[in-house]
Amino acid sequence: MPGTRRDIASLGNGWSQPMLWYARAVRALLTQPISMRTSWTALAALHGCDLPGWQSAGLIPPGALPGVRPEWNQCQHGNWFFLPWHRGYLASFEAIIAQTIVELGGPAGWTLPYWNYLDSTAVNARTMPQVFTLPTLPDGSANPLARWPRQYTVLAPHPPFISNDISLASTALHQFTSAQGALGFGGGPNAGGGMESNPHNLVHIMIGGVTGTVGYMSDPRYAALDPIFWLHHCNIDRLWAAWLTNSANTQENGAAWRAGPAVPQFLLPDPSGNLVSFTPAQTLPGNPLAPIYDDLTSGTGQSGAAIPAGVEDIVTASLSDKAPPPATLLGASIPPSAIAPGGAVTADLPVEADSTLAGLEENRLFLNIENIRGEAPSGMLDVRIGVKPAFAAEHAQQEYVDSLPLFGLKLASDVDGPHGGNGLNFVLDITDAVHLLARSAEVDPANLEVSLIQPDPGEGARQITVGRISVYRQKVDPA
Amino acid sequence: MIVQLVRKAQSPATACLLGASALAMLLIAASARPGGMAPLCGPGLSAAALLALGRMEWLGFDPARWAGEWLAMFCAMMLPLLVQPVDHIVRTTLPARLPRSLAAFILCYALAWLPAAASISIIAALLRWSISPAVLAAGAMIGALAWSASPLAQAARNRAHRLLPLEIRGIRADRDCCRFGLFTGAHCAMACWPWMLLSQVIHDSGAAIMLAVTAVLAAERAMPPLAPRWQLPRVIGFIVALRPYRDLGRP
Repeated sequence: MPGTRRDIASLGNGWSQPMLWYARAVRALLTQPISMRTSWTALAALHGCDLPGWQSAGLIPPGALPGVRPEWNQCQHGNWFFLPWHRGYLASFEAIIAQTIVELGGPAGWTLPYWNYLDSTAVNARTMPQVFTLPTLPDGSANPLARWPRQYTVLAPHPPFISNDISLASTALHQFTSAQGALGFGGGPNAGGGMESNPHNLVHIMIGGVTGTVGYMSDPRYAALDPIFWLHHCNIDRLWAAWLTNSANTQENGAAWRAGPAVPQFLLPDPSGNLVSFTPAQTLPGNPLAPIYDDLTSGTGQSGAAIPAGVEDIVTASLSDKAPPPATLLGASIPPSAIAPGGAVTADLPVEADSTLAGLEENRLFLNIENIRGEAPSGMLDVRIGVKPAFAAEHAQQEYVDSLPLFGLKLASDVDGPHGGNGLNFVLDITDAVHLLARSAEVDPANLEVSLIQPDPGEGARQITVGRISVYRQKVDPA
Repeated sequence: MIVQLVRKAQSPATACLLGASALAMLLIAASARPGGMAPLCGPGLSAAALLALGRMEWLGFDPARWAGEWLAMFCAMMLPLLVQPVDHIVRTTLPARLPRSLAAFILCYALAWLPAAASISIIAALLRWSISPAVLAAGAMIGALAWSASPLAQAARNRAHRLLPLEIRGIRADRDCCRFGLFTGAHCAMACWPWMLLSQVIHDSGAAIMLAVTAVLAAERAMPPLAPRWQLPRVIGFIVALRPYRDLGRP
């Protein structure tokens, strides 16, 4: 049975024993060659790797590059396996670190702490825990938790590059699985979920940045090398665990999700370095990979009145194998040009003229930004909706909808990469913005337009292309 | 694996693709029986016909028969490879327009295959005429495996995974579906041509070799994109990827 994972803030400031042993284990694993499955670099490569870049950074020795192993580059993004795959990944990592600590003479039972950055009751919740920025360990040796390239150590908007803030808005989504074109907590077979976009993607970018030479956290092929990655993902995993305790939520439990993809299988090393396979079903509460957290309410958006701490098999959400309510495609358009740094493209909101406000009372409208491609490791794209100039009333305005944290933009755009060059896709709920604009300007929603703006990140900025903008309508579930 | 196949087959579009493929395979199998239809898959453009062609004698070549054979082969072997792009069209197209979009895509996909099909037929006829069947079968198999292991084939397979954005109304929607079909078809042909050649040169085996080659191509397509480099033939990579590992649920 796994141990209980705790908030790093509860371990005390500075070098608590668990964090000191974590640092020692990281240092020990960094000395192992990538050919060892339990080495630091091999563990990071499970998520993603750029071997030539790693060699340039001195993470692997000069000379011939090692062959890419089948278990590397497995990270699941942009689909409904994002949460279960990363849960398995954390479990494997935690067991290997715990064993390494024992081998170094430390205590047994080490568990991975989480960074509770959305805890509104803690003043410094959004500041990276101190041990990740201190230059040395208590014995004066270099701190292996702090050596990694980062641009920011506080999770906050960094205007003008990053306009929006991390939030728990996605935890209010009651369906794990999204219908095509709509939004769910965990995503769908071909779409990422709300949790993946914000806070997950945004935290990566708020640490790694989007300007110039980005930090490791902004690139999926480097992110897991930074030890803060694991505490971030531990919190994302805790948000899922907390979401599962809400009886208003519906967790996907269909055979296709439970079994995972056919090829490649999900593979992880055990502490002995042997590969083991796992399925998403094994990550649900009551199964071998389900974690235990000390607290499922603080900073999770769940009220948790009935959640006892440390109980590992809580799942009061419904488990369902039924498809979510379908969404209807209303329209689509292809933006006319690429978006230069600091530039924007504007396109009609692709809905028919008969999409009246009356319909919006009973439906949610979703804007899909599809096939977003670019050369930068990550980027940001602001989305605004406004009234077309020809219909603009005196009081008409442009509504900010959201900013898209384009984590892994370059990797997703690589034709020879795991996404086949199909880019990133995002789904935004634009119901309220459309409602507000259409009411205030007294225009039909068909007379609205969408603007996609790339904040100018300055040095090294690249253009971004958007393949298609589409709008889907989903009938509101009366429940 | 089975779960994922069943899930995909539950989609009407996928079921149609797989059903049409199975029908074509049955037709080819029936035609290969003694006393059945004229043998499909191969001798439509025979070596004799090719020689006749060279002497400007057109009597030995029956374009209609050749086209019919290729259509059957195309349906049997290529339709299962279209599950992903057809799913993309189904998901991103207005339902009322779906038949038209699918027709445009498949037609252009087949058109992109046409030059490769003609070339493969001519090469197969020449090879059958000049090399003994056993040597030819072994050589074609080695060639197909070598191609499958090459960076060029991997680059083509990667591009066959591209899902192009589609307009949904007007002539631009037709244009996008046609472009998508041509793009996918050209890269499919690039990735698959030695396997199609193999099924042409061993035509005596009829549907059996075609079934095997279809399975190989489907397995290769099921694997995710990968940086182009020399590697194990992708179908062997697929078999290796299915290797059972210790399951976390078991001690």
